[in-house]
Amino acid sequence: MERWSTHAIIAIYLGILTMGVVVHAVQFREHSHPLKYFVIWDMFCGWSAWEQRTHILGEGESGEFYELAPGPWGSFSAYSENLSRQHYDPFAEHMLRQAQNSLARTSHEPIRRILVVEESWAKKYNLPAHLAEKLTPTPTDKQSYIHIRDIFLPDGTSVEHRGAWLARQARVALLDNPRLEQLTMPRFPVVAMNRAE
Amino acid sequence: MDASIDHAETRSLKASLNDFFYSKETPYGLALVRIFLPLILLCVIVPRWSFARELYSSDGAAAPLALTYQVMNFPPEPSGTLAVIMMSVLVLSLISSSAGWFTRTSLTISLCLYTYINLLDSLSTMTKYSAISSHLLLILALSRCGSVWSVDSWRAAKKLRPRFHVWPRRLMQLLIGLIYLGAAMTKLHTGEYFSSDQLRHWLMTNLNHHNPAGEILSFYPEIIIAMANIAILWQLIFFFVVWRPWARFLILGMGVFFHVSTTPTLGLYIFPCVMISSYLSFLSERDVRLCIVGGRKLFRRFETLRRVRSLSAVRSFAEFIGREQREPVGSTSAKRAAWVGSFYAWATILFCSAVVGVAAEHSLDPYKQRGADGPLLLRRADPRLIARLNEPFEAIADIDLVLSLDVGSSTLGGVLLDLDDEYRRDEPFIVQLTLVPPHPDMWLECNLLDPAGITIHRAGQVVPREQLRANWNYQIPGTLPVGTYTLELRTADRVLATRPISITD
Repeated sequence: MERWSTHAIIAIYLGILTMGVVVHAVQFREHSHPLKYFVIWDMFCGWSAWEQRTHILGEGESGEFYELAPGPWGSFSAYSENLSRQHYDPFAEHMLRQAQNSLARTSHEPIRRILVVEESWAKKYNLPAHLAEKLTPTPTDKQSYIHIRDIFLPDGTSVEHRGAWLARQARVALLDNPRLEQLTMPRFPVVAMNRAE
Repeated sequence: MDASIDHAETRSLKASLNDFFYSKETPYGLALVRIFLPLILLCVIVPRWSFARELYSSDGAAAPLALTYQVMNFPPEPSGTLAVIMMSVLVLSLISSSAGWFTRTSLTISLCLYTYINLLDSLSTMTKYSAISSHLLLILALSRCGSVWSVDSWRAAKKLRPRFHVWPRRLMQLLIGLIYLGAAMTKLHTGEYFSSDQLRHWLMTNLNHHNPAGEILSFYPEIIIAMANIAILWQLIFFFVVWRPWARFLILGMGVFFHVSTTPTLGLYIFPCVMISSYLSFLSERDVRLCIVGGRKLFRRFETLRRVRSLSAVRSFAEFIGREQREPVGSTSAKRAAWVGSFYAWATILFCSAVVGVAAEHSLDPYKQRGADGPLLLRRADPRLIARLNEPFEAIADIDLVLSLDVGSSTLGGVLLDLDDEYRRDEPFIVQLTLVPPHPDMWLECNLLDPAGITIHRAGQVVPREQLRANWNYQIPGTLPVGTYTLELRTADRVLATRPISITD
């Protein structure tokens, strides 16, 4: 009986691990359940040429802006010397929660809006000057791009969703083509005026 | 006859599988994993303990992994106090797992709490090393890794070299092999992995710890390409070759090198430690015995080490590690009483850790809400940032799309191999531009300017949006005077980069 239990444990465990590798190899329903994270080994699956930081701001009724992440009690840097956790949320799924937590634990004037702001710059600007010179002997000053990604009310209602800066830049790059831009224009009415036709 | 051969082959396969999973040994390898892995995980858990309320509870800003998968309330978020209790108990259970005190129970508690807590914070706790660690804790909990080099074995008054089936160690080895196979699949899905673009930008990132070697390595894409190909080949063959006695230490040695090198190049610390500790599962009983014998010889050879060994604490430890057998002591009832006493002590310590943890966290006041002036005030945002909030959305400036402008004479995997800035007349060379995505379709010129700054050759080309590199093949005519010329990369509107180049005889 014990031997059969062991057989079952080995077969089930290896079956689950193999399933993870196979669904990842054929890219079939890889993200259907959070527990798939434990059997799909997609370390360093993506990359970006842009370094990004996220600022979560609260706009007070006086017009003053406040920093909502990290909270004023201090931040935890998990994977770096000085980067707090909001910078590790590429899909901006947990920004609002962090903002609301800061608002709930602090003293402040009434807050009108919460802004999620992305700041991006090319990774070449991360290099020290003596190395950056090797890339192009005429290095340029670091330029960062500011983009408001989301606007919320303090109760969590979404006021405006503008999407990620990088996705928007990719769209701009793609649409930098008059013919394609024209094709994206609506060609037919949303509401059919005469159903008989 | 064919049937008898088939039967023999089947039996042989069965016998091989039986040997592979069910041969018996003293689980030294897994005991080593059990000792080291919880200590590594403590380096993850202890710094997060004082932030437990914020990171893992409904009193903070938990960031459940399940949300990314559009699944809600998985797992349920504990209250702040419960999160602190869980973290405090986890710290103690990891310590007792490492020490091997009620090993299986401690490992099971560690597995449940560690996995639960990780699922609650996808931003600053859950990573792939967390998932791997959960697997390792699960296998350790299934194994008899506490039967040697542990408080449990020290308490046990019976045979000290117990032998058990080897299948948990095999599961751990197969897990490692399948992780590498899965990681290789990821790389095969990423085209830019082979052209060095992906790794080059990871080496330049500042999201992880300081990585000065990575920044330097990013200037050698040819080395990155070579290493990338070696790494994927190694990951693909690991699962199939690591079982061969001749290949085991070579393959594992490469793994150690690969993981250790991610610290200076990518700024990773915990991931390599977790993976290297899992490699200890490849140590068989024989390997460990050879190491012990080798260690003893080393002690005998060197006078200083002999003196260290003569210290009583070291001597006791060495005897504990190397001992073969210990005589049973006490009656069965005395042993049972000792077990019950030990269990109460262990459970009391765990309980006290929870109580002390809650009290300590309360006194720390993580949100600083009980100060003399009440809750803290929000910090004002950086005015320089606020001043930029109304900037209109603009396409990326052309200058930021240029990563590098290089000159060389041959390519490897599409990137320049031998960078140089001095060429003889009539010697061909390649000017290579590397762009970063996303960029639009571009018209770019790479012009040659003479020492007086006058354009003497124009060469333009369309660089489509899917292309990250553009090459210009040059051959300086023999009639051109020697001197320092300039390569100028430009759009119709502006100069993006220049690079001097010397033309010699």
